[in-house]
Amino acid sequence: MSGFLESLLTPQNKMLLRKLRRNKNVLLGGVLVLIFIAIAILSPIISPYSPTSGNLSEALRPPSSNHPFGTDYLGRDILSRVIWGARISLVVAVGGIAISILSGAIIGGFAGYIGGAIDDLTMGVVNILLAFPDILLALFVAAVTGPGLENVILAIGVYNFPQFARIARGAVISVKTSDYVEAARASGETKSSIFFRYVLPNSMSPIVVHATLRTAASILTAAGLSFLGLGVQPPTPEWGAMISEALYYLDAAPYMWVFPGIFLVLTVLGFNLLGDGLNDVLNPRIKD
Amino acid sequence: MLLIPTLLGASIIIFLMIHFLPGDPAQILAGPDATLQDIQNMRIRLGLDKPLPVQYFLFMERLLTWNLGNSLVSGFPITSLIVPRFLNTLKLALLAISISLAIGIVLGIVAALKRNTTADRIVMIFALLGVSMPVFLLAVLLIVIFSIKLHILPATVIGSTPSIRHLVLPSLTLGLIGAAPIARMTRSSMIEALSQEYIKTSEAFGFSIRKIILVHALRNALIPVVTVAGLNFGYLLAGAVITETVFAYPGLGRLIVDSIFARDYPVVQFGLMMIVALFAVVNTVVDVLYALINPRVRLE
Repeated sequence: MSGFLESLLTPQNKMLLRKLRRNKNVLLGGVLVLIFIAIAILSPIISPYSPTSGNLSEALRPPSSNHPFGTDYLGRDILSRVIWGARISLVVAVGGIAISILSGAIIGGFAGYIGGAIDDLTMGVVNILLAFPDILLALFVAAVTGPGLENVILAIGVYNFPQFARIARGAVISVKTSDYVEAARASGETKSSIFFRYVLPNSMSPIVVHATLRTAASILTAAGLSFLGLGVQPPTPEWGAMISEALYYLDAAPYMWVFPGIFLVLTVLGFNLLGDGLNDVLNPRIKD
Repeated sequence: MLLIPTLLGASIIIFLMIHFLPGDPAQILAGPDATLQDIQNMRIRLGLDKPLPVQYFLFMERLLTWNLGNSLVSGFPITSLIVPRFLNTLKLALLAISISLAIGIVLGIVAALKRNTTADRIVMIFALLGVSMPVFLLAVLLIVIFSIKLHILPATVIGSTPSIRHLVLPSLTLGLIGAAPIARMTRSSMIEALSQEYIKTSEAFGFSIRKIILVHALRNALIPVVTVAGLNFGYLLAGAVITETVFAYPGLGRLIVDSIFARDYPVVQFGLMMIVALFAVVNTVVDVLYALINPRVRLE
């Protein structure tokens, strides 16, 4: 199977694949990310109990064979909530990043392609959005739209938009002015074929690297919003919200914050490692 | 960075906040039990009965004359709510950035000098964890260690004037998280600086390596660190929103979050404007500093 897949690859891609496999960050980060995605997809199958309903008579039980991560103040199984929490984080991050890549690529790419006053205006707006430090832009959107899963996804989308608009614009400009695009144009290729054959593939690697790193930041930000109570609402199992609920039981029930905390850190770490590794392999400019 | 246009643009977005609210903002802010008269009063109180450009003009007038009006919830003048909170956040941010710079630069230098040793790897793992650690989780960890287990520091602030003891844990939380990117940047720029010809030359001339590092390499290595520290200040202000909430620290971030819950939008608007303005000013200062330490910037 893998032999067949590999036969489809060009020699260039084969080399890339070999480099990716040899990079420790890609390997470790990739494994962590894959585990996270697997937990998120399989959560209905692998979670032993309901994540949202519990038995009050079994509240705040420390880890045991019945409840490996213990139970929370409402008697809900923490393992099941942590497992479902992966799904919420994945949905929010992927949804938010997808919104920002699409809008960023369309608006930023268009601005870079057209140039002139439209470009200046678009980049002006992008720079103003970047003046809101980090989570504050997401906080602003959440404050306007109110809490809830869809609104958090929107907030994460807006929060990442200026970054992707900037990258897409830069990529389009650098590709637009490159010699091979000039050559393709001279040889009479159509605009759409130039876009799909040259501009898009050559703009991909910075976007892929950035999307991975921004996924890490987005998971942190979404968890931060929910921690503040402005994100996903109870009883939905969300890692940030779970840690916030644990604040009243820090000493009495440390398992309430330790387990969601570990999963949150490992997931973000996975995306950060993967992003760093991909950056080393795909953009080998920096020699360390 | 263009300070004035950025602030103007940000003021427009923040001004429009009330208008972004789904539905009729006056109705939302007047509450579910409001009569038609209540809603109309709220509309006049917020100035929503006037045309949009006039509303923006009045918003800017309030901002520039520093006459921000009253809170919708408590009725207190917004200026008297925001100023002490702003000073508290500034105190926290300055302490945190000092901690970040101290820890980050020292760790970065150690890692660069002991490159590819265990010490280097430990520093890099610390840096990676720092980037992947949620602010609120580190806050929880520090509270458990220093307040609950060791009983040496208070976890939460009571009242509106935090003492030095109350500042320790919040600033340590933000400072440790902020140290991570600074350590990474110091390490890589220090490695680059140490590989420069003039360093090798001065080594050949017999200058002590200690002096070379302190005087020459570090000076050059710190140029990019200044930029990272400036950017980091933005993360710090943003992180302060969460940190202040965890520690019940009476800063601007917590005021904004509390006001979002209370739907006290004028307080949210002016609070956000203060943070954006502070961030923009710091970025401008960093740009100027950058040009001062690195004369090549001016030539470009």
